[in-house]
Amino acid sequence: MSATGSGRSPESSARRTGVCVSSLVRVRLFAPFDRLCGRRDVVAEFSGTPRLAGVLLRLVEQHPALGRYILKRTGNGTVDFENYFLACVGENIVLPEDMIQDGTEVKLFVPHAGG
Amino acid sequence: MTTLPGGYTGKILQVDLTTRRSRTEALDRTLVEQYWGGHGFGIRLFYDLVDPAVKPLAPENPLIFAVGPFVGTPIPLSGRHSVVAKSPLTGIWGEGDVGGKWGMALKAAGYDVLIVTGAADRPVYLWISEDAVSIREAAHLWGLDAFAADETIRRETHAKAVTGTIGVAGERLLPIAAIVFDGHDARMAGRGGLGAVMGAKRLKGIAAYGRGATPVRDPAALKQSIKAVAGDIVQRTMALKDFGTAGGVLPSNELGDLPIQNWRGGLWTEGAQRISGQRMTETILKGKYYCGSCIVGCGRVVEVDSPAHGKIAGAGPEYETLAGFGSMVLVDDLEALALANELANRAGIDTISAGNIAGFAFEAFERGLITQADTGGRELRWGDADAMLWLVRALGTGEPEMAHLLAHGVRRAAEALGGGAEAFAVHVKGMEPPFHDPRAFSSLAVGYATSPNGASHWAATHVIEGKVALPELGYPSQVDRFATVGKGILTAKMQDYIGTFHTLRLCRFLIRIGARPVLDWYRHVTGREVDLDELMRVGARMSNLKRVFNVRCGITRKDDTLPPRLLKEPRPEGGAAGYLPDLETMLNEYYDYRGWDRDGVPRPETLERLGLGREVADLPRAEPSGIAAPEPRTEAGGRRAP
Repeated sequence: MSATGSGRSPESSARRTGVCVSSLVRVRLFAPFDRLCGRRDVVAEFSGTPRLAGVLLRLVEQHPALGRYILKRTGNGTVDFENYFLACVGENIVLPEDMIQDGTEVKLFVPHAGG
Repeated sequence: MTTLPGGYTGKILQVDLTTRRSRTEALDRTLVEQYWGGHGFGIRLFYDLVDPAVKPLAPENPLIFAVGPFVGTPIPLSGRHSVVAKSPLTGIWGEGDVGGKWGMALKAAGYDVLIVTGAADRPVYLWISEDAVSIREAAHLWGLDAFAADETIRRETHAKAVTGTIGVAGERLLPIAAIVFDGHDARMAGRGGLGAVMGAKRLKGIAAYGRGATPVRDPAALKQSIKAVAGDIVQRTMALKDFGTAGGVLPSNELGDLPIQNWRGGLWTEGAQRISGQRMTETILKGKYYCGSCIVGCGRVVEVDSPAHGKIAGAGPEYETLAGFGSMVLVDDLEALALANELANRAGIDTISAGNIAGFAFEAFERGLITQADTGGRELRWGDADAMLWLVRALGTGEPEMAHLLAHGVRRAAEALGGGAEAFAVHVKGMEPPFHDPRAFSSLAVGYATSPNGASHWAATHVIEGKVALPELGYPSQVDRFATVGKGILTAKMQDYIGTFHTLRLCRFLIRIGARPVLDWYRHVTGREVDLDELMRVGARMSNLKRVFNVRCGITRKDDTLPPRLLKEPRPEGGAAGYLPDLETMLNEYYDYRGWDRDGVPRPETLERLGLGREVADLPRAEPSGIAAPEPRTEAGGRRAP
């Protein structure tokens, strides 16, 4: 994943080619994730349309310090994303199984739990 | 004597401050089996003791403190207690859900319930230990802030005693007065003015200490059951541990949930970043506070030493306080907010009501309804931290006169000010809402409208809309936060489900682990096997009894509503821009699910089904509506709306 400004911006590849062969997804990181990554925005390119789970796995691969908040690896090799973070696209809260379209910005926070 | 299930001391302590007498009564097994503890004991005992016409500050309005079967056991996040009375702020049912360690101390002293009736003729405090119960003179404490009162009482009783005290706000009977538990750690019975009820009784404090143990039927099984989920609890609450509830400020702002400028703004990104829990961690945070038996530690301990605000060391602000004194008035000075928190805690005022009052007052000033003549020359300008601090101090004392009016809540203040102030007075049934916006989470609309103590988010429905799944209740995945259909049912179910947390005295931050561990813990502690249907029935019983009480206080459908700003004015920008909740649709669904008529009165058959047949006679005479009620559902896996 590249930092903002160091690569091309996440324009829609589908608009350019008419076929979604790759997707660019921008992840906007809110505290503390920005500090853990050393940047506020990261951009990832995927072949096809990824699910949020794929975006998050890529994020953690590049920035292992995020793993503590993003996922838990179970003993049998599966990954549990439940309840460790909050992700939004626009006004919508998105879940790991949701598809993330080309050109989308995903905002990543700690979970929302005011008291 | 009938043997009680495990989890109980079996004793109710009754203290009459008028006669200065105390006595112990046995806890009734039926009460235990039907209401479990905490809020359940509170509503049942209160309902049986009190004429709904009682005035909130009269001696006849009892203060009831109650714990539950999990308190004093190794169950994590189980140290809470309940406080109930008729509320001086709203004139209806009032309840407090309190963390900290006082509940554990009461139980260790040997009691499941404390009922305080009457009123002393001069200031007193209560000292409750395993060995004795005494009513002590407190004239020397009157006028002290809540923290100083705690220190003095502990010096006079026991170094390890835990206290509940009132500050000057409670002494002056201000309807936003809170009861401050655990001294400097400041865990509050904040909502509804319960501190004023205590002040009306001239009861400055209650100290408790003991070494008694809570009986557990199957300690080995309980230990195993806790071990099986402890790691999961810690993982799922990691953000709370790291950033406290204050960590919610940033996502709340982005989602359009954070109230801004008296609920009229939409987005406040830079300000939110400056007052967030994450910023707190980088700057003024010095440690974490853990309630009794808690393994999360969401409480903040802060230190400030600044020329502007002096030295503060102690409990740090929660999300609600940061929103109330921060985003509601556009103050982004975190140190000023820490000071405001300290001032509010010492004075003993509810920061949720006070924050709403601050937003209202600043807007009233902007509109010329409050002037510098009212504020001793002070201008209440948006973003002015000094003005905010002045107001917090003033609300804590009720001085000057305008502050005294404001400390009676925005409803009364708006009525007195006139000039259209009611249009921006945000409250439900007289109680100001917590800082989560029903225009961002539609369930909060029907939740605030129907909560028995006025606008309250204790049922945590927005958590289900936010992401948490509760498959046992019919919510296997996230619920659309802007949807209308299904939200009435969601709200009723969650009120009942979380209501039982309030009987067992669990922290609702355990919501993420689901019902199975809770049911297992109940079985291991009490020896009673119950299923989810029974758990929900206990919750529904409480919800309905509270509603009958409120109906007898005069509450009808017309009161189950939202203020104009939340019902008719959409947020102008941000993650919830443009949305307004369809309250009427959700409310009809709620009433139908509950088995209430369309005026919000429980139907006789509903009460009878819940074992509240005696209370049918207390209902107002029903006018036939001509509308057949659908079969009410209280089972956990009830119909999910399409």
